[in-house]
Amino acid sequence: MSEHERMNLNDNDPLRTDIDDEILIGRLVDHEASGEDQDRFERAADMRPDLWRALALRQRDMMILAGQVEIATAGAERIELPDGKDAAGLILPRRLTWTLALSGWAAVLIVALTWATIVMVGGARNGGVGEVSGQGDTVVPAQSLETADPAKLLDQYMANAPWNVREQDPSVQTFELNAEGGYLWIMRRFDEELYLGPVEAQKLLQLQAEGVKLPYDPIELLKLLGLPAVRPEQPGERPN
Amino acid sequence: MSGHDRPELELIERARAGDRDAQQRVWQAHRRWVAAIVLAHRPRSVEVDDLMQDVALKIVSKFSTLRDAAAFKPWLRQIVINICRGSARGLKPTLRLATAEREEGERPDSTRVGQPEADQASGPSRVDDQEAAHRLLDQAMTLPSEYREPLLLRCVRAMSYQQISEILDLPVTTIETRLARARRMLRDEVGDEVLAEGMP
Repeated sequence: MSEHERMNLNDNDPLRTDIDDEILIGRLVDHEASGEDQDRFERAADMRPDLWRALALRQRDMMILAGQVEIATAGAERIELPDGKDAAGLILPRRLTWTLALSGWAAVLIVALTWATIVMVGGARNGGVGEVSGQGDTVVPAQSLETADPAKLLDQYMANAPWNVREQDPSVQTFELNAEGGYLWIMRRFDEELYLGPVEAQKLLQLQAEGVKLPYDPIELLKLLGLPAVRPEQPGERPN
Repeated sequence: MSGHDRPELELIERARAGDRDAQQRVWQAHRRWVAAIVLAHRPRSVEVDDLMQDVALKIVSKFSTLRDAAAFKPWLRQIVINICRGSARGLKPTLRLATAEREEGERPDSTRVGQPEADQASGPSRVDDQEAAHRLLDQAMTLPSEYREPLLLRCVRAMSYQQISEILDLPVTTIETRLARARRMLRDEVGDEVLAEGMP
């Protein structure tokens, strides 16, 4: 420990005598320990066997916490930088926010999907799970993208989707200004609320197997529900 | 304290000069730990993803203000913290439903299913574990920020002490000490409950 660190310790600080042990344990937990560190720990634990328990508890805490942080930050992987195009032909990066609500043993999953913008043509219903593109019944009548009015398509989607779609208040963000004017970035956000149970979660797996790009891995969803998470076989695949 | 290798520095330089592709690549390389900083500093009522969108918007216009490519990480961290603080000042209501109950008058939802039969033997245990895990994260969020931040960064795909020290612009020894204190505080708060299940 540096002199600076020691000076920060309060004389009455209960950690004062333990901080070196905690740092050593931390290095082991974080795989930052040298061979010498490991030897030092084992010598210390020979005299104080409770250090083994402390090590095990710290490892477990970090494993659990890392899992929670992984879930909490997973959406970051889907957020891209804006590229500055105007909104007319732009499909903005979409965020996916999952809210998992468990009521006792219940496995009803509330999913809130937030879209920055939606352009949908030929979306299909499949037990209520929507697709961005696909065949079958359409939420929005198929139209040519060149002639489609995005605003009308969006209105049709919001009116016909089998689940709740609401638009939040749009927010205006000045993106880039120059002498002649500039690009104005308008954020429109939509909440889509799907109720999914285990049956629907399995359907997501099937959709994924059929090539539909989903914003979330159904396997992770099934794991959260505590259900068997096995991908359906692809055509032509041999089972494992 | 730089810690950037030459190719990364060059990429950041290109991003600073306005190269959109370089900016996108830099963002993709760093957004995960940025999300951890957001998680550490956000107001509880604001979603991580919402603030990440704001960060993404902000840094595109801010890249040109980066003076030193070697200081990119602490520079980015400060932007994130400023955005989190700004969001606390201007909280907007968000539409969120946290329960399975639907409001009266809404269209029936063909996707909704009744609560499935649970595996009585394992259901409650699984929920307890998840609740305990949520509690641990909630408890971590109550730690002072100087301990909370390195702890959450450490959880991001096992960032090394060196990487964390570069982001926080602190010596590695300070990072070690703060992590040690954070874990000790966390364990003291949580106690030897469900998380220690199965241990002697």
